[in-house]
Amino acid sequence: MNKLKFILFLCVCLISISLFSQQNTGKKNDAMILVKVVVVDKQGDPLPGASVKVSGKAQGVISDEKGRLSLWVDRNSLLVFSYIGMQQKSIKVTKPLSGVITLEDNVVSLDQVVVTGYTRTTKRRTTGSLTTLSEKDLKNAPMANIDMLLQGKIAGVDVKAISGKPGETAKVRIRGTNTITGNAEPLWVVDGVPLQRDIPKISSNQILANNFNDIFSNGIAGINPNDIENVTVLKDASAAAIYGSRAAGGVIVITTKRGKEGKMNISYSANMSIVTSPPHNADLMNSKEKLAWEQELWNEFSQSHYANGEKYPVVGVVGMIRSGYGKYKGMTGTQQDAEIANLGAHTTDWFKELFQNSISQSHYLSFSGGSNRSTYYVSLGVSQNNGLVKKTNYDRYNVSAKIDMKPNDRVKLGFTFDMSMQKSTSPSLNVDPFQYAYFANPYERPFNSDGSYAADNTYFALRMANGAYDLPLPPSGYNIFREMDTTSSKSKNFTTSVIGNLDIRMTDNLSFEGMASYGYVVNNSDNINGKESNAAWNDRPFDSGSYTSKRTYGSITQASSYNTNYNLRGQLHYFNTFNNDHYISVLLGSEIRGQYTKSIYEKRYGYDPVSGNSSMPTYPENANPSYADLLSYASIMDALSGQSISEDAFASFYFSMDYVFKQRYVASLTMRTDGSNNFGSKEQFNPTGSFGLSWNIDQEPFMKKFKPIISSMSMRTAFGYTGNINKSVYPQLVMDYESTFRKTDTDYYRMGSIRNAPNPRLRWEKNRDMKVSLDVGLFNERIHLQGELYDRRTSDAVTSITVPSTTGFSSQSYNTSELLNQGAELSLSAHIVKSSNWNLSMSANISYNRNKLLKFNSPSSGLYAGNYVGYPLGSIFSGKMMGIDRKLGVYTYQARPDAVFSTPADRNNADNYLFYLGTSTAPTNGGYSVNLSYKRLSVSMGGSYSFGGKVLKDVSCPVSYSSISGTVVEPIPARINDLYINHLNVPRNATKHWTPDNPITNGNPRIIDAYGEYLGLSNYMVSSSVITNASMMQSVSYFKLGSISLGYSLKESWIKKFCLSSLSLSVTMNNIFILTNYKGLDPETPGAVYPMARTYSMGISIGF
Amino acid sequence: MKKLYICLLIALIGSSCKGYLDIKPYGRTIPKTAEEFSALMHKHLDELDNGSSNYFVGNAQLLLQWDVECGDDFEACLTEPGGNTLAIYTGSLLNMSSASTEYAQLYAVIRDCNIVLGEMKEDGTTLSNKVRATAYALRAVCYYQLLRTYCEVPEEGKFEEQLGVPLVKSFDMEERPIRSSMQATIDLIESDLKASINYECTDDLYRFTEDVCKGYLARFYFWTKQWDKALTVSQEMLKSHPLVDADAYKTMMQSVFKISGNQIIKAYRSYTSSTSTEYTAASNIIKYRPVSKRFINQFTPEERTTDVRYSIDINRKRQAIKPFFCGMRSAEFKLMEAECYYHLSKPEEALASINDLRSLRISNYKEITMSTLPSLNPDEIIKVDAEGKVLTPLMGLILNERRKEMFLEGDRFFELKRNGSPEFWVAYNGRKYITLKFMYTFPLPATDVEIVPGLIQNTGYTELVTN
Repeated sequence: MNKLKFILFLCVCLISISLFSQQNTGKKNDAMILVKVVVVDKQGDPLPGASVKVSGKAQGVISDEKGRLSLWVDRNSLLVFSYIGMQQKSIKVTKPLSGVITLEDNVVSLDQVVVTGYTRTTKRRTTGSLTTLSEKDLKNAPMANIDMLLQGKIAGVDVKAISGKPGETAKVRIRGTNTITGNAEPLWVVDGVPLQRDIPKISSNQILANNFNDIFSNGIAGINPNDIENVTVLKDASAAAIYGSRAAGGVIVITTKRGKEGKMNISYSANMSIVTSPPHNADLMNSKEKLAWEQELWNEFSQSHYANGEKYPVVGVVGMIRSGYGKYKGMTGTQQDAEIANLGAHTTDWFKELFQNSISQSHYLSFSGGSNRSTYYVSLGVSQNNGLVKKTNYDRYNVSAKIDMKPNDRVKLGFTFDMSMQKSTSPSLNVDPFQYAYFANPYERPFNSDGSYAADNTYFALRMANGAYDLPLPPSGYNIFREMDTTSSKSKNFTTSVIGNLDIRMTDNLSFEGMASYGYVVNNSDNINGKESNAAWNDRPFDSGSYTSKRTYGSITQASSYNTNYNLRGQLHYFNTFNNDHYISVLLGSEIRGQYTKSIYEKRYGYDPVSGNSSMPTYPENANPSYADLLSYASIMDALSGQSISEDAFASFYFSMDYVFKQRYVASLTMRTDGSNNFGSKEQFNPTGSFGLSWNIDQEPFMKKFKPIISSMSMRTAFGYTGNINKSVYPQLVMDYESTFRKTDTDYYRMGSIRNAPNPRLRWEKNRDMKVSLDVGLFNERIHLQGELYDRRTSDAVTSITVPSTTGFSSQSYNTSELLNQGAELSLSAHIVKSSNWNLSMSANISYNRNKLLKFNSPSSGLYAGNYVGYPLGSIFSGKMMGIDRKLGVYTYQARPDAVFSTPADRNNADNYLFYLGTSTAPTNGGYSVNLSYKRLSVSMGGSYSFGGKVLKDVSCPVSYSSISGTVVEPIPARINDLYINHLNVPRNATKHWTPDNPITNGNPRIIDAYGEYLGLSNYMVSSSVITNASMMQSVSYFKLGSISLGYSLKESWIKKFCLSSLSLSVTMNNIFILTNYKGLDPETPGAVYPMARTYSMGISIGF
Repeated sequence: MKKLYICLLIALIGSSCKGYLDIKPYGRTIPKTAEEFSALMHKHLDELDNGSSNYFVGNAQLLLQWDVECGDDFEACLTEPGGNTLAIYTGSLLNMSSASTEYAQLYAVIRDCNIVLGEMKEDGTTLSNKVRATAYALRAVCYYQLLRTYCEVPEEGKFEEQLGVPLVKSFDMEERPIRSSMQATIDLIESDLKASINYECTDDLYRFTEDVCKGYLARFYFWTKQWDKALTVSQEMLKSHPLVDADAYKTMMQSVFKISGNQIIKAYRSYTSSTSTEYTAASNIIKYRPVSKRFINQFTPEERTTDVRYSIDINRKRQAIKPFFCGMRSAEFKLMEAECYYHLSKPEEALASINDLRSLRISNYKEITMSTLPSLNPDEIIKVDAEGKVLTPLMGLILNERRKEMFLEGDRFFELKRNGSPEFWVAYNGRKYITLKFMYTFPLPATDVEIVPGLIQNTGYTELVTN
């Protein structure tokens, strides 16, 4: 560290050279006086390299190694003494100055203000684990939503994108998952108000899953990141217990910007981004390779059977051509070859066809200012985000206005008015475009030569080509571009919220703080299936199951939902300092909050997009509807519209007390009790609470001598309880009314069913949380280290356990399970170089979370959904692959040491091969960032990493042998052995496989036709997919460079001419590269899902 | 102003949260009144009416299972590719999931009946009586189905030793009942049916009217070999629901949805398109598995033109064309009457019953006399009767007649089970699939056996391999 100090000293000296040169030009006359002083710190130690500058002049000097400096200055000039990490000191000199100048430590940087939503405190006075990110920490991804901006920034906060779809909410887990069936998402709190913006889901047997767009169902995306002043993440019970029942998943507190005293400040920033395809690709076959591969399979599996008139498999277009299926009927050998050659002449890169490079933009304008009595802040934001997939976009508009008033010295009033509008548009596809892009054959074309949509002859053809019966495709065939052009799903979300705050200082030490908020959310979604689309073809209630009808009609599904929410809070806050050494702060309050949501939906068939009207189709003319048909008709009509309502209410009381002795010892106590309308009367109030201790070691007298090295040091420990409501179950016997009625000629009757087994003993899920942490700041906070260990146990976690069928249920939810999350977190930030021209800082964090199920009653025998006692949630149990057996040509799996093999059934029994292989939730996560600046130019980069996560099923092919129903002759061990998956596109390495003639063991295993020859493999080895899925397991560990940005702020003197106060430019790249062994597109979002795009952005930011 | 806020705060803290935190269910209720409880029954009655999956009366899919997959009226080895989703033989259905679905579904209906019977106040109103009558009847019918499927064939004099099914008579999530004796199961079914009959419910809206319960009582006595009781009830049913002649029979059987002729209860009475897929799929797939030659041979060459049943059952391609009938109709009682007479050693009366039935099905019918009894069909796999005695020509005639009359009505598998549970095999794709004796009794769900201590699994299913 001394070296570092030396380097710093050198830097300072370099800077001083220029200052010295200026000093020599000064003349010594009567108007000048001599300043000859020694600059020291609080302890009296000299400060070498301290500088003094004459305000308003290019004159200054640097102290020598003993802290001495001397210079002549004009009488009455203002001298500014400064030293890194110390407070500046200004002295006006009227007469010669000598002696000692003492500079105070810059304590502000040591003690950060923390907003917990209920109180404002300082980091040194809390015992909780919390991390605060400021506005500048959230700058690196201009188009992202707030949740993705947190990725990799905070130890213990694991943020993973669910998909790269614009506007999509990410999955956030703070210190692991601590519920099994409940909601593990953290609680988001904006300006003190917990978000309650739920939109109810819709269910009706006529509304299909993709007919309802619920992208805005939780409201986080509506927050404009530009409005954010800081984000504080409350990770442990000590910090979060004040939020009680919803704090089990942690709390993320967002504080937005408010006005500051001073003249009006206008700032404008804009961003322009180019969205391009993701950095990774899947290495799939091109047309020639795929056709050759299909031919090879035809030769191996079909040719001889075909020639002998036996049953043969048809795989890919080559199979269809060679067997004369459909339009290839009657072709001669040469014609067949010509057709195949023709197809091979063209390769469609479906990813290229479906992905687009699009341009996105955002603008942000704010006005702020005020007097000492009132301040204001008004902001406007627009963000238009065009997706990677054609025709997908997401727009957000924000207006926010805040006024703070101080009518007198005792009263403070604050008003916040927020409005946001979000719009999301995408095609309404029932075939996932990424799945399609991955699996569609490269020889299929998107368009015919005349520009019309080309039919995909293979994607849906496997069943029919192999003699199974299937509902036919529309006469024009399937084309994904037609689907994209003729279907749409639009969702519009409008959120307004009003928050009023009132602070009354009743005495100097006692204040009342009140808050009232009201929010209103409207969500509208329109889903249109055009008449020509395959979606409409598949959704024809009057022609369903029809093999002959060619009639199509479009549809529109409209849903309109609203949510009203409120939060009312009142608290008394007492704080006082006694005898200089005792500081006490007590908070006592109560709050109620609730939300009411309602959705109305309707669907109309025969929708005409031009006029907006619809023409309800009926049975075809010759159908001669019977009474039964009329009943059907009525039941279709009934299911086309409906409503859905839900209501939540909470009432809570809370108390918290902080006591600080001599700035050294901090004790804090939090208690809260919540009641919720989800429970009956008995288990109503759930007390939660925490107790924490903190020791600011650096304040101890014995630490004084280490001050130059250890500038701050705190140790914290806390213990507490938080809770979680599992809303999926009820304690009472609740009968749900069906959405349909029992009908007779004359009347209709309500129908009811008991959907969930009631459990009168149902109660809250509880989390017991313990932690110990150490914060160390070195060299005046140039280096900051934070380490933390925690242990949280969830008890009473609700899981469904199997009950005997005789109860009439298969499972019942009980508070039975226990979960453990243990972990360690380490954060490091270092300001390595700090000079007037150069600045280099770095930060990195890593966290490890060990999740373990301590107690669990499996709802079924054996393993259930990856839950098993002693192993983490999402654990993967499968076989341990031992490579390809040379004789059998399939993967073999390691036998368990306790397995006994005496019969073929034992060799086939999955239990004999089962091992724990890992978890789908990566235990190690973290992030890093580096910022370097030289004068006005700055470069920053950052990213995240994740280690230890695995996926079992990876990208699953939409077709397989089971697509063709039939009696399986030879069970398929693993998907990779299945002949029929080769009907669609496969990775290049598929060709290198085991055959009886070429028994290689270093490629893929043998390919098996499930309906072909009986091989009897199951007599020798295991064929259960539970074990053989291991062959598809992939690691999703990755190291990602998330962003690089380059910024430049222009010199004030240049821009002053244009009446600007600041102007800066930036260039940012996001999702630049990723280091991973994963074979698919993006290890963060494994499988065939919307990947994260690579974006290039240019930004400008202007201050007036 | 600050006083006001302090007052507000105190009021807030002091105010009671009781009403505020009440559960606010929308579209749901904690049932208390008869009308609310009736919704539970209407749900199941609606399942019956529209033929959606229900196991108490059945639907087309269930008929496929019992007749096309498990019985011997269809030829698995000649199945065309389109029908290859059909199970080959009973053994294919015995894996955990499909065999235990019915068990779980029936207990789910029993649960709702128990909730109605236990939680609903008995206030004597017409509505509550009707709802209770339905609940008793439905519970009895479910236990009857459980008895037929999951218990061995009742053996006279051994009811106390034989195993029944677990009996649940009240709604209790904590109860872990083990299997009762067959006697206890039989007693419960009988008392429930009688309890329902006592309410004298005649409202057709509730489907399980007094008549229907009597019909089930007859079936139940017949299955448990209480011949005299079965005879009495059957005859009572025949009196109120007389047999109809060939033309009326044809009309009745062709009426897919409407209840017609002497049909007493049936599924699909309010068939809607939301459930039609099931019926359509069943009628589509049945074409791919031809009716067996053994079944066709039950009709003499002459009968193939004169017997109305032949023409409505089968077409020239040997495809079954008879509309699926899941329910109960009078002919069954006539056949029961014949068999009861036979077992009560009244062969003349038994033959008379058969002649009665045949005369209404065959044009220009010539009565069979004791001396013109047709000889036993050597292809018939049933070799002994319900009492375990070797088939006589008369008994053979009765069974043969029942097989033809009840074709595709979900009867044949249980006929096989009742009459000696014969072992037989079918060939498919070059392999031989044998229906073994134990397969006539389906296994209890494996999870139930695992989690309920003392619950005894049926013979043949004691080893559990997880795969």
